[in-house]
Amino acid sequence: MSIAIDSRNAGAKSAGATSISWTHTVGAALVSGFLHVGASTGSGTAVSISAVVWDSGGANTGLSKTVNAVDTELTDTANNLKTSWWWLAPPAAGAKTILVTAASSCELEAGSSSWSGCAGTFNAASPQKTNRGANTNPTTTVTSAVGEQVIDVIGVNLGSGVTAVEGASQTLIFNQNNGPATSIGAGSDEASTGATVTMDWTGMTVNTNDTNQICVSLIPAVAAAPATARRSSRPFPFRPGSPRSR
Amino acid sequence: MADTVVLPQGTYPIGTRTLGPATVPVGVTQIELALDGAAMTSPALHVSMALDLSLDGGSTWNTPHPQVDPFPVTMTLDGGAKDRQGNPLPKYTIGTRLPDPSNANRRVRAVVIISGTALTTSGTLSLT
Repeated sequence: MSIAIDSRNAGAKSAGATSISWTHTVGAALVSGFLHVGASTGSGTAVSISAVVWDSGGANTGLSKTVNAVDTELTDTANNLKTSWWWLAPPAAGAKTILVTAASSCELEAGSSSWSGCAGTFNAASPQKTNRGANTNPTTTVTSAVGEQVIDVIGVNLGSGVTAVEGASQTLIFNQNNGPATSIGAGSDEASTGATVTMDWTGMTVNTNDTNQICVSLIPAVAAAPATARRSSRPFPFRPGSPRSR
Repeated sequence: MADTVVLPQGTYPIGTRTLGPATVPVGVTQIELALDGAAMTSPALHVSMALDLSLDGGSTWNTPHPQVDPFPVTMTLDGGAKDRQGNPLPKYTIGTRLPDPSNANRRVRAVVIISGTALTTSGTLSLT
């Protein structure tokens, strides 16, 4: 079974927020579905995302930020930038609200994507988390495998005149910019065709911008074996009345 | 497009206010609503701001469909927030990308819910 995109969602941004929310539509016929949310915060006192909820006001299902028993949250202590990677498998279908709640007021940026064909497990090397100081081209070589799907989220501490532009082979999921002297949160994805995938960003033209980057490689679901194959695995069927059945 | 004042400077009591609707020009891809934070210093102040989108001239709003995702978008805030230097936050904002840029029938509106104490501010809508 191959991993396929269901929906990419620009999400939302805010300055001075304690929470943000937006609507994301998960397709009704999604098989082995997967929901991802990337989030980043900026402030004067590093602020964590305390919760991400799918179907806020309804089922209120919490997403996890733990991948392979590792907390995905990453902190840039020099600029109090925090970035995290959240997931849920499988999400209930429908147009529902994603609610991202911060521990206190901050700059908030977040977006989401949903997928089919996911096992709900991750490459053993995931998550790959990197905090960088001054850098104009943050790049991670992500350990992956053919058929896997890499999703990254990046947080950028802004000077002025700075953008975040995804690498040419990546597809943008969200890119939320709170403006000069604040922060950017963005995310992208790329299908894996080999043992590694390069996830990179440009646009940080002022060489004083710290970045957080978190990369995770999703493993595809295994297709169910055909019914005929299961029957053929019984080499010696017994029949009523045969000598061995007495 | 220039910024538009959608909430004149004033003091607004506890309750709900709807701002707009406003027509979104063809080609616009970003929306941001900002509240002036100069007088929003009371921690007792709680505000929810929501941005709604119509693709049919205001007949329907936030119709559940992938085409109108991510709307509605909302934010909640508490008064008294600080900027990175520890000063009172100059403005509180909510924003996102606008879909369907070739659609001439797009409309946006904002719903502001004030609780805790009265809100003294002005509001500006940016469409770019």
